[in-house]
Amino acid sequence: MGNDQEQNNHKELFERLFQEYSDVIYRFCLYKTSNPEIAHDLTQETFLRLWKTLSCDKKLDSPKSYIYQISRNLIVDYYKSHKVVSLDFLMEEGFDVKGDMVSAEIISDASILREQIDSLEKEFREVVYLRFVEELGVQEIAQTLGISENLVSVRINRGKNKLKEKFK
Amino acid sequence: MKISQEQFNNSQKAFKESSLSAEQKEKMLSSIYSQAVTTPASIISPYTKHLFSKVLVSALAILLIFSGTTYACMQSLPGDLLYDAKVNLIEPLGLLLKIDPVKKRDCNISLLNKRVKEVEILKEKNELSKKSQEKSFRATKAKVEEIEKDGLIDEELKSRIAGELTKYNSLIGLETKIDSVFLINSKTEIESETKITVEPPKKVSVKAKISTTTVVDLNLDSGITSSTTLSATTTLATSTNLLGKVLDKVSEKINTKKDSVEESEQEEEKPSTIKLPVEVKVEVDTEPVKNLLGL
Repeated sequence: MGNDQEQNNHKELFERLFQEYSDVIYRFCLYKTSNPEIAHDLTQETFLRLWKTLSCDKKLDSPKSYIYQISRNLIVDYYKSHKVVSLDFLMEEGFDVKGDMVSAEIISDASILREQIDSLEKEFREVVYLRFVEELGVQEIAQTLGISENLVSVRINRGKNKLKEKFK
Repeated sequence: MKISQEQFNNSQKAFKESSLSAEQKEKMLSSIYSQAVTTPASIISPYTKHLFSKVLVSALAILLIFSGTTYACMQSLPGDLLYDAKVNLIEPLGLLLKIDPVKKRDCNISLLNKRVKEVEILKEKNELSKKSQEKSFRATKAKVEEIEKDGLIDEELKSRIAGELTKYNSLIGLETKIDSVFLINSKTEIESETKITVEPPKKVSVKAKISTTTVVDLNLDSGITSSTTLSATTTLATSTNLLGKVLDKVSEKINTKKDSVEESEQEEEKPSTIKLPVEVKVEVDTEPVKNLLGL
């Protein structure tokens, strides 16, 4: 009886987290991979792992940052195991995105955003994404990335200025 | 590609609207519940997993290779490919682990015994080639030098080592033999022992004490006459004769006793002292004769 109750509690928590963050994680994966199908699979795998963790009675202090961390690891793992050639690499090699790509996903808004944000230095990319795309607060970004709020504020300001410089 | 801030904002808004449909979410949830195992495993980071598997496989491979090679090395005999690795690498490594000098010495001695056994095995197999002998000789010589250098060898161990080295020298067919202080000391000891057995320090003493008293009184009150002179001369001659006989008898007795003593010595090999209960004491009063003869 106790086990069933616990299981129900886990399921309830899991479904709440799923409803809250599934879209966010899907967009994050889409932003990183520029492929809706892969983004879908990675999102599913992220929540599968979250469900397994919750089933093991593990306490999560910050579920949001934990989910982001799983997702980030899965993306890295995906790129390592599938040896996917990134869009940046293709563009560096002289591949014309607008002219040659027929895939609607790659010319999507995700690609445009990614192109702009990835032109920034590495330290600003995720902060800028979370702030200006996901519209998270400083505190939330700090929790998600595991860095101090001051550092988040500094990176947001500098990243914003650098991004402005890149606009026409 | 340069875009305006407006374009960026539009993309941002459009991107933010992209999300999973309710149907997709439903399917995703049912898929998660069906995939999840009853006893879910904890999540291991792909980095950790990858690294762990690599480290584990490498460690296992190293362990297998190392243990296999070490075993093969330990079984090798002089002339084998791995013999050099055995005597120059594996065994010194084992010795390095011995911190206690006494244990190190014991280990060195057991390794020396091993060298002898190796040659024995090769000789039994009839595979004692010149090359293998040379290899074994070098290893054994190095080992002996090491034992000599370390010291801590008492008399019992010295004789043990000497025994092993003598055995080794007899087995090996090279012109050069192992020479060591252990062997030199041992030779001296053997020689002295031989001396003792051949010439045992045995003391044979014969004491003879024979006593016989013969007193002859010469009456010269009536002066020296021809008869008294004759009488004195006869007495003297008789005494001399008697003395000669006694001495002969004594020497005969001494010889007899000597023979019996030698026989008993051969049996018992013990120092013996034989006392002859005979005492010969010849006292001749020559004064009256001297006076008589005017000497």
